[in-house]
Amino acid sequence: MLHDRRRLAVSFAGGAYLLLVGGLIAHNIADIGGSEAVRALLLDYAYWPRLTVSLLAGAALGLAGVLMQQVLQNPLAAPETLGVNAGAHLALTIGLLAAPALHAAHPELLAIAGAFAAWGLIAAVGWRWRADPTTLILCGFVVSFALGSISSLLMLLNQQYLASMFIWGAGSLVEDGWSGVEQLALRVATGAIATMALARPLLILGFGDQQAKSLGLTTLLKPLLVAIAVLLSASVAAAVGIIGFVGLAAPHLARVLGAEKLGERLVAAPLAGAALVLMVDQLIQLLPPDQAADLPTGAVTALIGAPMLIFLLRRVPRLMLKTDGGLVASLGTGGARRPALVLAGLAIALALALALAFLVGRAPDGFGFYSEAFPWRLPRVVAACGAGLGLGVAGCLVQRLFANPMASPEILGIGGGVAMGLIAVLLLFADAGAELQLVGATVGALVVTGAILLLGLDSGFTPERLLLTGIAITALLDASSLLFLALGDPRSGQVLAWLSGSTYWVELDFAVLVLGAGIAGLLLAALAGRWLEILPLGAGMATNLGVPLHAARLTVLVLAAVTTAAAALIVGPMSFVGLLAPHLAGLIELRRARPQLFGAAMIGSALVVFADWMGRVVFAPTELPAGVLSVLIGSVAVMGVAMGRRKTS
Amino acid sequence: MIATLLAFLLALLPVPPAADEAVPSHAERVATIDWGTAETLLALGITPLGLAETAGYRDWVGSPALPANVAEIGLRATPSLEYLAALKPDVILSTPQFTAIEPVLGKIAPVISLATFTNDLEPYRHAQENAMRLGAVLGREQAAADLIAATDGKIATLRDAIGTAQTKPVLVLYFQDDRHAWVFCRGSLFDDVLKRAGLANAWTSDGNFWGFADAGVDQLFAIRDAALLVIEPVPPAVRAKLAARDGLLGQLPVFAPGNHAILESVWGFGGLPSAGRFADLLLKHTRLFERGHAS
Repeated sequence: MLHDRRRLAVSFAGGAYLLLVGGLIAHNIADIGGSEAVRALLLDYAYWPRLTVSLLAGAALGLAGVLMQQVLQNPLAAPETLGVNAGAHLALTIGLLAAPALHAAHPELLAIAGAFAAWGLIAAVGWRWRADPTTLILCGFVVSFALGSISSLLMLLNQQYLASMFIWGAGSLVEDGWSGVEQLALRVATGAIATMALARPLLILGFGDQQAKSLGLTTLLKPLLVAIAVLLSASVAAAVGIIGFVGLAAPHLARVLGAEKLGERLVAAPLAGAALVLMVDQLIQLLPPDQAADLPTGAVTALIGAPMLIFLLRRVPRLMLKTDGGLVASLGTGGARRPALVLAGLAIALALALALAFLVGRAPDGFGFYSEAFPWRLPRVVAACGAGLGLGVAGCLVQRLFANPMASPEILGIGGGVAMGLIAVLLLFADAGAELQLVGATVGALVVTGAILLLGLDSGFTPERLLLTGIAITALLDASSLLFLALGDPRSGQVLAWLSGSTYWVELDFAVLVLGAGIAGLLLAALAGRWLEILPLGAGMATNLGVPLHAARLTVLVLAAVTTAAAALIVGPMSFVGLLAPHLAGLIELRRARPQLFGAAMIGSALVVFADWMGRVVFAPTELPAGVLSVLIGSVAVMGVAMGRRKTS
Repeated sequence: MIATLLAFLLALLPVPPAADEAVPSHAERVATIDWGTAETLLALGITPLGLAETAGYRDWVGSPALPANVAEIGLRATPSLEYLAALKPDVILSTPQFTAIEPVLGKIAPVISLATFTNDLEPYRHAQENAMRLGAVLGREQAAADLIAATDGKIATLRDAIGTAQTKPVLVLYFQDDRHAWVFCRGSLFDDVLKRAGLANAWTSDGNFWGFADAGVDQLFAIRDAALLVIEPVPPAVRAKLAARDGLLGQLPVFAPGNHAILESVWGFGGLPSAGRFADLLLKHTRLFERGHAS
């Protein structure tokens, strides 16, 4: 009965879709103007190749998504979450700068090499946790943003030379002739045939590793299947750029439409992906041509796909992620016997970093004090100190809330909200000053925090729901900043500088405000020390120990959100200081809630202050933003920590 | 609605006072973060002490040539304060796109913000005003008047060369890759030059406040009766398609033989010198615009 009703709903939706898209196609074809000969040319060289490419790209991404999700037994696995896009992006950027001839002739080689390198890195870091889907995705996030930070650094330094990378990054489906279609079709067909040949073993993989082994599947099979998926998505990336969120959403869409069995999903997901990209692309072509050119399809699919994913995931009951893993190494109950001594040592280290950053500068005649620069450096040092402190605190809070060693405030997407607010202000006003940019950034942070709270209230703040929301919001940010950059706005340099986290423009009163917010956050968090001690033990244990679970989670989340928002205004939406600082505190045996909070706050501070100073002096006069250096330092260290833990346990 | 509200809020924000009074009369020591301002300074006979992204200026603006002794001061968005201070400038020149960092720069020297590209889409007039303002601040009134007259003169020469001939509209663009271009429209320096020379821009819809619009190659196809000017650098893939007359790009009506020209690199986001240079380049291709010449 229920099945029948669903079938009816699905066929109704399918019919509506066909009518809608058929109408769109008819309208868009009729809209092509000119003489008969001109229309024929435009149809043959532009319209039909574009339509075909949209279908191929969507199908390839859908297939890649199913493969990744099935092989890794991970509902969140997709080209965008497993670093494929970030790797392809970085490789193409480097190629465009270092080997333009190769980039022009064989972009697909660069994209494929980059995608495999990134996936390899993620697999190496996250393989130990392949049984824990959330952590693998978090590894994917860390690696993606590490690679992304290198890309944005290159863009920052070579903005004028990389304008075409902005278009690529936003995924434009504009085609000229059939050569792109032919190449992509060849690769997609190869991938599809290989998948068909391996469909049976693929099914067996779903039963788990033990079963697969006893049925005689070789260990090579998994890497081979993932390789097909990586190849498929890298081919799309090389052909048309980043088509956001299709690889992730299409398999879930297929599931919602009733494709329960793997065999069905292997067909339905590519179809869903193709249908999705086709519809978005045809809708965009409805716009007057000059506006349509400003809207790259890939960024729009991400804008649509991200909220859609949140919606879909709420309807898929079996999608439960195992995150309530209990104790993690950095959250132990043991720890240093004399935390006060360790904290005193940290305070000295922080003082040294502050002194270095404040006193030492670099001018044309070398390193020196340049005391006339003290007043200019002071706001930057204070701001960096406050931002690092806030992120360290927020990192501790989020890690304990999620009971996951790879969780961090960056992943909640609050920084993303800050960035979207800033971009909105820059789009609305040609010459927005610092005040107005601040207004936009703060509003953005508040909107995202509100959204997290609303979604959280609805689902009882389960960590996995928050994590998904964070991933979706981060994807939204990516899409909106890509759109902004693809508009070719010459202010993109300024936005890139901010997104990468520069303390350059900070005024002293604002810096003091951020530092104050960080310290207030630290003290409030310390007051909630008992909750923070108990939350990582898991929901059951926390309830038994009399912790009001909802109230505690809500409090910790709001506190983390506000401290992150203040800090993100300084160091940008992504810094990974919030991820790294609690880990380092754990490494030096600060594992109980309060000592870890204070330790992480000081470590975070010292880290951002040092990164900011490095950014100012290393390539002077060219300044590297503190945020980007923090991501580099932070992500490398996090990968090191994660790999190191593989040996110890 | 929201934009109006925000504009209202913006109007409430304090407006920084004009910095001209704080600048010593006949300032000589000037640093700038904007390439367009740098070329105007050079045209006024003033060598800036420091400029942001000097390598980029040499690649993208090129002319007037930047003397080797101009100091690099870092990225346009975040010039190094220590390096700027070491130059001991009397004044730092900025544009509204860098308002966010002007308070920071102001700690070193008075900042003058020179707007060329704004929402009123009149860059040429603003470029003239900026030249005058720089001339007044830096004691080069005569040089500024000469620059304005010389640039007007170049455009007048172009207009005279075209004369009374029937002309085609002109399409001016940078290719991003072989499928996308930035087309210069109302609000661009190039459009203002075309207008003043009596030529029509073939791209009639509006773009952004920098005066350009993104266009896919299929949109370019819709433009038929126009002469095309492609500005260097031209991506290799575009050259290949053009040579083979391959794809839509190679068959663009505006690419018809004798109907298009590839112009030497000229900076679309500069000041009067770039405008003059663009007029000079157009002068070499006046035959393209004459109706009935091609095809």
